[in-house]
Amino acid sequence: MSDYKYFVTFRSKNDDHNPGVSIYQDENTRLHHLKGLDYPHLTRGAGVYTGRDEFVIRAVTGEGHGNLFEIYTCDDGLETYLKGSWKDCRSITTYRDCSVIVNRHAFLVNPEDIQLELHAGGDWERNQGCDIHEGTVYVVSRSKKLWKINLQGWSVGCETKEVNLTSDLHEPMFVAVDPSNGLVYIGDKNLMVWDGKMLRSYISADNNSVQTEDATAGGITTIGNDSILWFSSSNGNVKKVNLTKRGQVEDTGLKSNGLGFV
Amino acid sequence: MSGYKYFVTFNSKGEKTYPGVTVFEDEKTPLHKLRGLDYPHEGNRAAGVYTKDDKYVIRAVTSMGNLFEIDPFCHNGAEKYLKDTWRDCESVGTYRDCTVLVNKHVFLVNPEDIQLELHAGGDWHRNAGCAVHDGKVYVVSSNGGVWEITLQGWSVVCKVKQVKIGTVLSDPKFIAVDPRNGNLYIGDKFLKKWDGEKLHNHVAIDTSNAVAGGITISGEHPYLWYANEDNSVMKLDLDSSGHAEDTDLKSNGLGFV
Repeated sequence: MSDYKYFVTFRSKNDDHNPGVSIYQDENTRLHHLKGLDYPHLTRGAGVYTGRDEFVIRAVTGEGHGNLFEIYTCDDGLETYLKGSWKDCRSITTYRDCSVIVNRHAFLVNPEDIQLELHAGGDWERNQGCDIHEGTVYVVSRSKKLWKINLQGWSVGCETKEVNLTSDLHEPMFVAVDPSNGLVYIGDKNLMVWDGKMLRSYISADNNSVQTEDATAGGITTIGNDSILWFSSSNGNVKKVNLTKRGQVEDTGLKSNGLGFV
Repeated sequence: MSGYKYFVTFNSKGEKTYPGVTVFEDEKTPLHKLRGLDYPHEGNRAAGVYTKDDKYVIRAVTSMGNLFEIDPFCHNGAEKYLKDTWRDCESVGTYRDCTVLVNKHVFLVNPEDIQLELHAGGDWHRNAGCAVHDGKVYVVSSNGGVWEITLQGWSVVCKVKQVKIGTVLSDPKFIAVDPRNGNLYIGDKFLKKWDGEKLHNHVAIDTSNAVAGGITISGEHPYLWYANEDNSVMKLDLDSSGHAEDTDLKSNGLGFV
């Protein structure tokens, strides 16, 4: 599911400003503040719906052995370290009630019973982000490429198909799909748009591009009828762009080490 | 899913009362009336699969062994026939956002992308029902065996473990699980309860003519619903020691969502 409603900020628990993990509808509306959690390093997260209006956040943080965590919104935040082979995870998104995790390969995971490596080919080591739309996962890699992986039919030998859409990126840092129209937004030197056929720069209604060269993570939520792109920068600032209104970039005043979406 | 909330009746579209498919909260509260659908043959079984935003679809197996998907939120009920290998399905249950199907083997299905035969061993051809609780599928086979199949860890080469927990039945018709405590209720000649250790007979509850059954939780209260060969739908409050009541509803089998 890429139809996210909320974004998640990750901070050290000792930060003065929104410490720990917070879930926001917009920059002025915080739904949960999980003060007890500590995310001082770059983190990307994606929610997994468990049933009626409940969710948990799966978060990948840092690098090395086993860096997948599951976060619950009870009390000041409960956290489980998900063991297994989830090493060097860099990107995460949500497919139905599972997480899609991308490191060198693409995995479909629900810790309880699904721990599958999808034979999707490719090698997305040091990938910079993924997002999903209608059963298709989009991945951007440091090899300057945008990939798509079709999840439909994955259960047949766990095989999926990967396709390289473009190799014309410079240094992509996130990829996010607008659920209202399927347009793929890429945080590169500037914000770029893949419309299914070609890559172009995002140009706002007042004819400006949006710089995203220092972005660390990004994603899109839906507020009313508007699709809002949220992205974090290397200095921790969270910024937003109203894609539906072809808006300019705005600083939200929030700080986060990466971002998550639920 | 922590237990079903609603039950589903199946009738011919020419039936006078509640024709087609109807989703009920209780016998007096129909939530969806899908009059355009036609389920004239007895022995339908169904289980809902939650989609999102509190919506669900109903996966139904008919007495001919075919699998249908019904969307009660689309007009007056949209129905599609799910093709492929889902032949001779006898029983259907819900596991997370998938359907568990039991014919000779156990399948985990979401038509769009999950179509897996689980290597669960056994042979439940002509099984008489299944129920899912806490990641386990319980199946009663027509020869009287009760089986427990653990779904946890199924993704490791699709293997799952099955255990026979008893051969104590004469002519089982359905199996249902109380989601509060995992107790199994088996419609046999009489209703039987398996509490994990022992089998208890409810000799006062005649289920010899049942064709399908299941449990819903309404508020905190568990109700067992079952349909008989004469299409009457019966209701039993599991927390009381009373008899089953005739609800005055008619149905060719029953489903649960």
